[in-house]
Amino acid sequence: MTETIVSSTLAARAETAIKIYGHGDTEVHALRGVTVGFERGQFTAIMGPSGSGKSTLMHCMAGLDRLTSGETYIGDTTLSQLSDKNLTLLRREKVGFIFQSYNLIPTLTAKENITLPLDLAGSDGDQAWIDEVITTTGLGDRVSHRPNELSGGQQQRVAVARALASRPEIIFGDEPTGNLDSRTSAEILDFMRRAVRELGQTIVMVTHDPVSASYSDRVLFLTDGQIVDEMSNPTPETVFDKMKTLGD
Amino acid sequence: MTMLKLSARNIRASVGRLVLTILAVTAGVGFVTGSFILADSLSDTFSGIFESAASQTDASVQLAGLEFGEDDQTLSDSVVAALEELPETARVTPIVTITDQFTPFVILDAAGEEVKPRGPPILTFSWDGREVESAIALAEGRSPAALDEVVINTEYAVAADVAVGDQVNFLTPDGQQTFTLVGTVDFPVSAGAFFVLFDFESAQTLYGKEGLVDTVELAAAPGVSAEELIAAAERVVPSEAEVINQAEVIEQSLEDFNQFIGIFRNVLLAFAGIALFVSLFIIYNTFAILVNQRIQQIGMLRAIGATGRQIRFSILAEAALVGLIGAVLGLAAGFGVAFLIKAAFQAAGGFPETGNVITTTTVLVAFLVGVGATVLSALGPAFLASRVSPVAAMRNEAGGDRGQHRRIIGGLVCLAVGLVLLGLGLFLGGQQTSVLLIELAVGAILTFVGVALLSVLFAGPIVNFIGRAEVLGTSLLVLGASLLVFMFTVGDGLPDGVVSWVTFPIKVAVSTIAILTGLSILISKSRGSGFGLGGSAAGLEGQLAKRNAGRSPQRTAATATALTIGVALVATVGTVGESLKASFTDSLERGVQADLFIYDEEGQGSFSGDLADRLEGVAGLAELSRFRANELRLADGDVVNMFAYETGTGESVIDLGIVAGSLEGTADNGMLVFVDEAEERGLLVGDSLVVDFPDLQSETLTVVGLFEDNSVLGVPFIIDLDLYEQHISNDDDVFVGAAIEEGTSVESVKAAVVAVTAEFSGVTAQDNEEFLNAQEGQIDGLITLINFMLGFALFTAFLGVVNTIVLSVVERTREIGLLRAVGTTRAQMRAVIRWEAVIVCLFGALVGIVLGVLFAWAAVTAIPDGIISRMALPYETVIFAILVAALAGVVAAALPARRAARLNVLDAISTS
Repeated sequence: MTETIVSSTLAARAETAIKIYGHGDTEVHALRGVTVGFERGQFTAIMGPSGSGKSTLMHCMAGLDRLTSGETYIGDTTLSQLSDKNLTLLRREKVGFIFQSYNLIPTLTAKENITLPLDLAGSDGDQAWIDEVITTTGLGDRVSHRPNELSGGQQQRVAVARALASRPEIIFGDEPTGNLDSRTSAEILDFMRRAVRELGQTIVMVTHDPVSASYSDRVLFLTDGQIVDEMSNPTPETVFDKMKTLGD
Repeated sequence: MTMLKLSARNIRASVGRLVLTILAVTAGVGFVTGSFILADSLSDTFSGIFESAASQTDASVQLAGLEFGEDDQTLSDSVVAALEELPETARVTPIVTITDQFTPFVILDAAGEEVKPRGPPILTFSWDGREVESAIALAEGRSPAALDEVVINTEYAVAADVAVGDQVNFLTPDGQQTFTLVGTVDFPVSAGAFFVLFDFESAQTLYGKEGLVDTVELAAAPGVSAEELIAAAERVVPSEAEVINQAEVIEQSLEDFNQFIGIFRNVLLAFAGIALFVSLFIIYNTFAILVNQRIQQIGMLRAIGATGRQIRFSILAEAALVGLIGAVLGLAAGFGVAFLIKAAFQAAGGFPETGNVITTTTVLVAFLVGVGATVLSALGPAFLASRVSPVAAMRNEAGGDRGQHRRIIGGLVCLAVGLVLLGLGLFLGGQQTSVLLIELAVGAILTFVGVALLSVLFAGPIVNFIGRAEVLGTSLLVLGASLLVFMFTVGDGLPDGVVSWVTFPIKVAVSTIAILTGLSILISKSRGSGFGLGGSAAGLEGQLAKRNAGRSPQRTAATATALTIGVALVATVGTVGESLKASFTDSLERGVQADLFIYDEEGQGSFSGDLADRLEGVAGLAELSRFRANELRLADGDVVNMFAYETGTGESVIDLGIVAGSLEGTADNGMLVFVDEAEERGLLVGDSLVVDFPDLQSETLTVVGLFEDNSVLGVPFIIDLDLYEQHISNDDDVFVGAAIEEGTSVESVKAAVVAVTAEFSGVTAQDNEEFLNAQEGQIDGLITLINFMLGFALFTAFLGVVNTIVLSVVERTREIGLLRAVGTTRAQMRAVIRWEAVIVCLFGALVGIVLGVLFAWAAVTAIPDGIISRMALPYETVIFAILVAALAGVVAAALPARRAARLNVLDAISTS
C-alpha cells in the first residue's frame, strides 16, 4: 500500500480532450480541450453545473465513449487506438464503475453481483482480496441475498464492492450517491474513502453535491467543457462557495 | 458460464413475460409434431395391418400388372385346383373382389333408401372365415357359406339397424336381392368404410366372375421354404399370372398408401409452416421488447467488461432455453393437435383408429424446429443487444427507437424484392405454374416482412384516425350492420349444415355487439360525456388509449403484426376461395345446359351403359348424351385423360366455351383440347397428332377446337363417342346429361328418371340447380377445411397479440402508476388498455386485409384462367374478420388490463 502512495505515476489522464456532439447547427461542444491527470491512490471529485461536460469527461476517460480529438490514457494505454473488443477487455481488467442507480443484476445475489466482472473475464480473481472487499462492505451474511432484499445503501455498497472486486487501476463513479439520503450517502462516501486510504484504490467521481465532494482529496471544477479550477482537501463550505462563483 | 447462469436466471425472473412466447413456440412445434405423429401413426397402423394380413401368407398369385392398352385379363379359377395339388402348399385361399367402388352391394332400409357411409366407400370381397390378428375378426355369428348368406362389419350393421339372423335387402349390380345376415365382423381400421363379405363361390356368382379368381393366397407346407413354394407355384400358373412373395405383397399394398401418407403429411406441414411463421414474429417481438427493457442492464454489463459476444450469447442462450421448453411442451401438444385433426376428419367423413406413434425423427424435428426457430428469431434482437453502448447504463431510461434506420432500410429492401418477385410472377409469361406459385409465395412473404417492418411509418397516422371516437363509432356501427345485411342478402341467410350452424350465431352476436358498441360511442360522443359501454372510446379513456397507441408506432406495429399475418392469411384464402367459387359458378352456369344430370356424386365412378339405354324409353326426355372416360397415349409417351361424347347432342348438355376453332369436324377424327393444355403442349387448331388408344391402335387426330370451360368435365382432351367405341369395348358411362321436352315439367321427368337410377347403386339424378349446388358445395367444403387448418395459425396470432399487450403493459408500469396516482380509477385504467388493444387490433386487421387481398389478387392472376378466371371478394368474411379482430383485442387485453389496474401505485412509480 505504501508502494502505491509513493508512486507518482498517473492512473489515468486526458490530453486536450475535445468532444463534439451533433453536426452543424445542433453542434454541442461538450469538452473543449481538457488536459487532466488522476494520481494513483487519490480520491478525486469532478464538479460542475449541469451541462458542464463532467459526465462526458468521465465517460471518455473510462473508455465508454470516444473523443472527437485529443487522447485519454488508462495507465500507459492509449484508449483511442483500441478496438471495441480491446476497450472492453481494458474496462474489464483496469476500470471499475459505480453507477447512480446501482445497476445491480436483480437475478443475481449480492455476492454474485460483486464477482460478476471476474466471472465475465472467466477468472477466479484474488480470493483473499474479494473476501476483504466483502468484509469491508459490512453486509455479513446478507451477501447471499438478492438486491431487492437489500436497502439502497446496502445495494450501493455492493455496487462499490463490485467495482473493487477486480482490483482495477481506477474506479469511476457517476453521482454514486445521487439516489441516496444524506445519512446513507455519508456511509457510502466513507466506504469509498476507506477503499482509497486503506485498500490503495484510485477513485474519480462526478458529483454536484458539495458535501459529497468534501470526502475527496481533490476537487476539479468544470464549466463549459473546460477545467476552470481545482481544490485540495476540500470542505463542504469551500466547495459550496466555489460553486457559487461558477454560477451553478 | 456466468452468461448462461444469467440467461437462466433472466428466464426465471421474466417467466411471466416469456410464458406466451413459450406458448407460441409450443403451438408452432405442436402443429409440426402433430403432423408427424398423425402421418407416422397412420403409416404404422396400416403397415401393421398389411404385415399382419400377409403374415399367414408366404406367396400370392395374381395377374401381372397391366401395361397401357393391355386388355383386362382374367385368371381362371382352375389354377386353384392346380395349386392345391402341389405338395408344397399347405393352404390355398382364392379371393375375388370388386375393385370398382361404384358397383357395391348396398343395404336398402325399410323405406328403400340406400344406407351408405359418409364419404368412405363400401368394400366387398370374398372371405373364407379366416381371422387375421389386427386385420379382421368375427364379432358375432359365423362366416358366410351359401349364396344367400352375407356378413357385414359391425359399423354397417349398426348404421343399417340390422342384426344377425335378419333378412337384409341389398341393392346389387343385378338389382334388389335379399340375403340372410349370418354374422358380423370387425375391422380395426375400417376408416369409416362399410364391408360386405360373401364366401368365395357365392362371390364369384354375385360379382359376375364365374370361373375366375383375382388373387390366390398360398401358405407353404411345413418344411417348405417360400422360395421353394414360389418356384413350384410358378410351374403351374398361366403365363399372364405372376407369383410374388410376402414382402412384395406388403410392398404392393403399401405403395399407393405411402404415397397418400406423404401427400397428407406435406399438406399438414404446409399449414404447420404457416403457424410457425406466425410464431417467428412473436418470438422476434418478445426478444426485441425484452432487450429494450434490459438496455440499462446490458449497458452496465458492457461497462464492466462483458464483450458484445458475451451479450449476444446470453440472449441467444435465453432464446435456446425458451425454444427447448417450447419444444418439450410442443411435443406433448403434438398429441393434442393430432387428436384434433383426427377428430375434424372423423367429423367430416371418416378416419382410421390409430395409435399415437412418436418416432426419433419426430423428436429430433421438434427440438430442431423449436430451438432453431426461436434462436433464429432472436438473432436480430441479440445483435442489437450486443451493440448497446455501455453509456446506456448511465442513462435512466429504457432504450428508444434504436435500430430504426436499419429497420426501415431492411423493410424497404424486403418490400422491393417481394414486389419485384410478385411482379415477375405476374407479368413475366411462359413460366411453369409451380415455379410461378413459389415465386409468388416467396414474394408474398418478403412483402409481408417488408410491410411489417415499415408499418412503423404509417401506424401513427392510421391509428390516430381509427382512434377518433366518431370514426371508431361509425365504423363499428356500419361494419356490424353490413355484416348482417351481407349475411341475409349475398350470403346464405339462415344456416344449413353443421358449419354454418356454428358460425351463424357467432356472426349474429359479433355484429350485434359491434352495432351496440358503435352506437354507444356515438351517443356518448354527442353528449360529450365519458359514459359508455365499459368506459367509452369517446371519453378520456378513449383519448388516452388513442394517444398511447399512436405515441409508439413501433410498439403498435409490433403488436399488430401477429394479427396482421393471421388476418392476411384468412383474407388471402377467403378471396382465392371466393374467386374460385365465382369463376366456377360462372363457368358452370354458362356451361351447364342440361336439365337433368345422372352421375355418381359420391364415388365419381362410372356406371353401366344399360342405364342410359333404359333412360331412352323415359317419356319427356328430349335428348340424352352419354359421356365416357378413358386414356390416350400421346406421341411423347404421356398417357392423358380423355372424355368422349356424342358430338351434336352433347352440346345441349355442356357448353364447352369454344375459344378457337369450332366443334365442326369433331366427329371426323377431330379432337377438342382444353386451352391451358394446348398452351402447355403448344397445340394449335389444325394441328394433327398421332395418338394410341387403349387397344394399342394408332389414330391421327386433328385439333378442331380449343375449349375453356372445364369445370364440369375437367379433362384435357375430348373426342367423339363413335371413335371411342371403335377402340374401346367398355360401355360404362361416367356421366349422362339429358334435356327434357318443352312443355314437360322437370319434376315429373326427374321422378321417372330416378325410378330407373334407383336400381343402379351409387347413381344420382339431379336437376340443373341441384347439380350446380352440389358442385359448388364441394368447393365450400374445401374452403371450410382450409380455414380449420388456418385456425392453428390464427390461434398463434392471437397469442402474439396477448403477448405484446402484456409486454407493453409491463414496459409502461411507471406510466400506468402515474396515471393511477393522478386519479385514474381502476375501471378507467382497464378501459384505456382495452381500447388501445381494440385500436391496435383494428389497425392490424386492416393492414392484413389489404395485404391478403393483394396476395389473393396475385394468386388469382397466376392461377390459369381455366381454374380461376375472375376475382371476387368475400365481403362477409372480410367484415367478420375485422370485427373478430376488434373483439380479439378486447379479449387479449383482459389479462393485461387487470394487471395494469391492480398495480400498486407507489411501486409502479418507483420502478425505473
